[in-house]
Amino acid sequence: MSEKITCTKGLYKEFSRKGGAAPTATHYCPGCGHGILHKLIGEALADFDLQDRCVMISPVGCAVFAYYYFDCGNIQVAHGRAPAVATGVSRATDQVVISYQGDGDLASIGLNETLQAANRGEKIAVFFVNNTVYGMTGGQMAPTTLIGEKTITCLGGRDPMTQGYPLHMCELISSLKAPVYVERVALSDPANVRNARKAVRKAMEIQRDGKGYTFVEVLSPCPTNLGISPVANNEWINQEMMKEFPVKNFRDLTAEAMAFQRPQSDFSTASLEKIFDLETTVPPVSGATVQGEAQVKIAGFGGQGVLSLGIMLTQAAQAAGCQVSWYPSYGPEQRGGTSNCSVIVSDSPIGSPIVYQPDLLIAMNRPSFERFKNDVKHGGTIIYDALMGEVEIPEGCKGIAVPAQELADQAGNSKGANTIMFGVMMATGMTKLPDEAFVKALEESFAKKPKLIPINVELLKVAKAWAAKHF
Amino acid sequence: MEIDRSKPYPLINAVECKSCGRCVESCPKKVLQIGKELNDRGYHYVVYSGTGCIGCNNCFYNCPEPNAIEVHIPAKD
Repeated sequence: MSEKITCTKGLYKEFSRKGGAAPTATHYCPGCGHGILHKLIGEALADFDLQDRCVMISPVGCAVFAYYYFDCGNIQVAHGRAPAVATGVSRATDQVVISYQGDGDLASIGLNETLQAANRGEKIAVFFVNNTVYGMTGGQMAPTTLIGEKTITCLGGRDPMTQGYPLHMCELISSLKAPVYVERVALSDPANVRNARKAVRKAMEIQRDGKGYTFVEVLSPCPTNLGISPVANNEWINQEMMKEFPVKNFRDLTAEAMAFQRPQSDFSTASLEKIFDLETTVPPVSGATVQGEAQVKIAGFGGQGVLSLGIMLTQAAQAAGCQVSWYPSYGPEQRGGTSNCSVIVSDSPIGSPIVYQPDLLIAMNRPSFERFKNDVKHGGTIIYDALMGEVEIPEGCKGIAVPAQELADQAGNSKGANTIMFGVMMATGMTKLPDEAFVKALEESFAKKPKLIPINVELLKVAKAWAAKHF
Repeated sequence: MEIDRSKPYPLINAVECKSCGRCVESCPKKVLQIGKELNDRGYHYVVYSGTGCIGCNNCFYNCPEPNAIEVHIPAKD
C-alpha cells in the first residue's frame, strides 16, 4: 500500500560531525525551539531544491553547531558577524544565503551588522531566534528580555530604569526601506508553528527568486534557561511574550520586488591584479647572491632575543638581494615556554613562510632543542648553547655547541651572546649568505645605536675565529 | 498495541525522544502520551495509543528532534 511519510528533510540523516554517543540526536535541550526551526528551514531547502546552492551562516550561540545538521554549505562566524559574512557570500557567489542568529548574537553584539545589512537590502534570509535569554552562556539577560522577566543577570526581573526596554527587531527592521519581507512568528503551538512554516517557506522563495532581504523573527522556547517545562514555556510565549512582541506580518513586498541584477563577480587573477594594481609577473630577483633556499628555525625562551635574531637574518638576506620570510610563533608559550621563528632565505619567491624541516636549527635552550631537533633535515646543522651540557644530536645531523656567553664575555661585551650566535650561523655557511651581508644586517639592526656597530662587528669576527677552530 | 496501518499513524523512534511533551500537547486527538518506559538515553519516551491518529502532522512539526517522529499517511485510493 502506498503512503505519504511526513519526515525531516534537508538535514543529515546522521550527524557525523557531532559524533558522540547519540549521533542521530541534536545537541539541543528537550523542548528547544532550534530543532523545530531547523526542521522547517531544512524542509524548505529540500522542497525548493536549494540545498546545493545554499550557504548557511551559523552564529555564536546554541546554534553555533548548525553545520552538524543542515545538509547545505556552511560558514560559522564570529559573534554577531553573520550578516557581514552573509553579505560577502551573497555578493561574491550569488548563492542563497541564510543568516541564522539568536537574540544575543543578532540584537546585541551584532545589532550594527543586522541593521546595516537590512538597510542595504542584502540578498539574504535572516532567521532570528528570539527566546529572551542568552542560551549557550547560561541564561543571562538579552536585549529582548521582557520587563520583569528574571534572568541570572537581572535577578529581580528586568527593570527599565536600569536595563532599558526590550528591543523590537521586526519593528526596527521594518522602519527601513530596503527589506522585502519582515514577519514575526512563534513556535508555541500547532497554529503558530504552521504560520512559522509558511513564513520560512516564503522567505526561502524570495531568496530562490533573488529578490532581496528577508527577516523572520521566531519567538522560541528555551525551557532550560527560563526554568520552566516546555509546555509551560509555550504558554508563556503566547501569554507574555506576544504582548511585547506581537506575532504578525510587518512587510511583504514580494509582488513588487524585482530580482536583483548584480554584475557577475570576476575573481580571475587578471581581474584582481587590475583592481589592486598588482604587478602581473614576479620581478626577477636582482642581485641575489645565493642559489637555492635555506630554511632556518630559531628557538629559545621568550626574552632570549630569538625573534630579533630572526629579524637580523632577514636583514642579512635582504642585504644580499634575496627573497626572505620571517614567521614568528609564540602562542601559549608566552607563559614561560619557548618562542620560535622560521626564516626562509631564497633566490626565488617564497610560497609559504612555514618551516617544517629546517636546514639549520638555532636552539637557545634545552626545551627548544628537544622540541625541534628531530625536525632538522638529514645533513642539517643544529647550533645550540653550550650551557645546555650533554645533548643527543639526531643521526645525520651536525651539532655545534657554542659557548656564546663565554665568548661574548671574553670579548668584553656581555650582552653580545646573540651576535656570537649570529656569527656562528654565518660561519656555518648554511644560509649561503656572504659575510658582508651579516655585517650589513648588524649595521641596520644597530642603526639607532651606531656606537654598538663596531663592537658587534668585532663579535662576528670572534665567532668566526672560534668557528674556524672548532668545526 | 498493534497499529492499524490502513489509517494514518505516527512512527515514534523511541531512542530519539527527549520527553519534552510538545507532541502530546499538540495532538488534537490526544492519542500520544509520555510513556512509563525509559529509552536508552534515559527519557520517558512518547508512545502512540495505537488508534485515532488523523495524520494532521502536528506532532511532527512541533517535535524539536529531527529523527524522533514521522507521520505515515496511507494514500487515498
